[in-house]
Amino acid sequence: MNIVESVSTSLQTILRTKARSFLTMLGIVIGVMSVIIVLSVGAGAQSLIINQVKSLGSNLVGVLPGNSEDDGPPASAMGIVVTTLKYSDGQAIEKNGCKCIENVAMYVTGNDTVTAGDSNITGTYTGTTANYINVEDANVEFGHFFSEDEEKTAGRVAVLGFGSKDKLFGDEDALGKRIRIGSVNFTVVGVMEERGVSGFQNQDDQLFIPITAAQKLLLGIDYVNYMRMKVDTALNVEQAIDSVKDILRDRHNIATGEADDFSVRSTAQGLDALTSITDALKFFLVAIASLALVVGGFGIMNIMLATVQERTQEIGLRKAIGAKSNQITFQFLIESVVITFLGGAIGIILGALISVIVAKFAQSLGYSWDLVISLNSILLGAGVSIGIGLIFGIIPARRASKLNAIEALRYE
Amino acid sequence: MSKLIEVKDLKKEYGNDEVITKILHGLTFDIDKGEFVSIMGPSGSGKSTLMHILGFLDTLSEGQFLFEGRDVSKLEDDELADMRSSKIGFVFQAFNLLNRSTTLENVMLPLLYTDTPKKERVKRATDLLNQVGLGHRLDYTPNKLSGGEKQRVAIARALVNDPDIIFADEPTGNLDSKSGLQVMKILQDLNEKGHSIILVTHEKYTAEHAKRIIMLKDGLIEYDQPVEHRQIADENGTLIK
Repeated sequence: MNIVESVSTSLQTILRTKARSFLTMLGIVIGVMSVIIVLSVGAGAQSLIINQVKSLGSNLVGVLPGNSEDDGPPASAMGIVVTTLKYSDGQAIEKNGCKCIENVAMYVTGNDTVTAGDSNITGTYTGTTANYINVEDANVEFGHFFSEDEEKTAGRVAVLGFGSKDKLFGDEDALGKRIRIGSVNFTVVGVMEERGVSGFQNQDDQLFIPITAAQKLLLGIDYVNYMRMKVDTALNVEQAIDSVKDILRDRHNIATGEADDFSVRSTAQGLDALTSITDALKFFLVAIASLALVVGGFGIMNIMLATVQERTQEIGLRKAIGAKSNQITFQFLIESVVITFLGGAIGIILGALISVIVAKFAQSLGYSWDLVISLNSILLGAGVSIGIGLIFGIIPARRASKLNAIEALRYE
Repeated sequence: MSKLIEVKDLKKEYGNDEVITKILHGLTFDIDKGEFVSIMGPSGSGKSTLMHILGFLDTLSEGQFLFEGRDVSKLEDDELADMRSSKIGFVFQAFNLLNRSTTLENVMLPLLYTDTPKKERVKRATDLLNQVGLGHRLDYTPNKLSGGEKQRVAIARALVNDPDIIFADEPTGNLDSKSGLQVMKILQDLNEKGHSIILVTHEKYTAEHAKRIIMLKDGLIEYDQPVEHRQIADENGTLIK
């Protein structure tokens, strides 16, 4: 009996018991579908994050507190507070750093209630430096950004994002008005231009105050969360990184041979790190989705064992007319593989459909979401479903082949 | 006539170290090519066990079993399967047809295990079904057939590999007397054409359709002699003499 005939015989058997076969393969359908969706949606989300970072430009260098491996994220990127990076470090870089570094922006962020007249919102505020608009290529729509003097002297001035202004003041003019962040009053000196949604963050919902004001008046800290600096051309990024490292090591008194207590990254390196984080997340999700496949596999084994029991007489007959043990094994193995492969194929189709729907939906909301259904994930789905048929089909098939022909013939 | 089966002092016992059940206590007989032999005996006499051993479904414990002059006492499982596939055709009391497959597919089934091309399979199965008078029922499933028709399908299946010998295990046990006689008629015709047949039964009347009876009792041969008054059936299911 060759493989084509075995497959067609199995298909006939499966078609004769449609309902049962469908229920049997349901676990595999759901499992493969989940894997395809996770891979596709994961790749889409990854592209969204990475597109956002890319849109920042290739001539940016970031500094985060805490040491890190070259390809891994520093601890501070994972939300752990490291306090080694200071405001004065940034000033020193601006003053003594490589001429290729055009601007340095420093950041701290906090959450608090923001009140203006009767309206109040709970918002994230960013304490930053006057150079923010140069580093981030942002523009002020009304008024002006706060000045270097205001930055250095903890001036109680605020610049509203376009959306924040709308929420706090509606159509009214905000310039010169007072807002209260927590219990500290600030005067609105500017409103940013509308920037729209980028990535997961609505940049218009921001609110900017001088970094020293945020540190001293609101947060009570003396460190910065991170710095970003703009290099004149992408070609000088390496040189800029070296210069930042030299200055920081010197200022932090790090002896030769000891590790940095900070991490300097270019956009390109940041992308690599982001990719490795999101890859890890993606595979974690795939691993969870794969659990459904394992559950489905046990379902197949269960049904195949029942099938062997039901067809004991048939197995006895086949042996009596000359079937060898391995031919019986082969027949039942092919049958379970055909079931899982069919389930896998249905799962791939459903998974691809749902991925398309998710991508279209995200795109319709204005996200730069790529639809990625890779050939690899399809091959993976198909391969895994065949593999599950083999793994979970072997025990029932071996059991069938080991039946004693005489006893099996008499089995009622 | 050349010898088909030679059995010398054949013994069979089942069981483990603790309990051993002796079924056959030492049988010696020969069967020639073209013979029609009934193995008879009451239940428990060992006739089924003997048929299983002669039909390569089981192995003997002691003694010698030559098939076409070749010692086949010590064959492995796969070799036994090869012998069943090429030398033996079985007809069972319970028909043992696949109920979801058609008559034609049932008859072709043994050829699946012999690398016969599909065209050849269909041709041989169709020819044989015509021979047993079921050429008009090729695409019926067994549950639409009468008992006699089912057994005729089973006979066609037993013949499809062109076996050296046909074993019929109580082939009329589940049939009314008329259908039973029709089946016996087919077996007798096959024997006339040169097929060797071993019929296993507990009924003297059925056994007398053969030419020779080996009577078993308690695992030993009680007698082994030709049938004096042979029963002859015709295709309508009536006895001629």
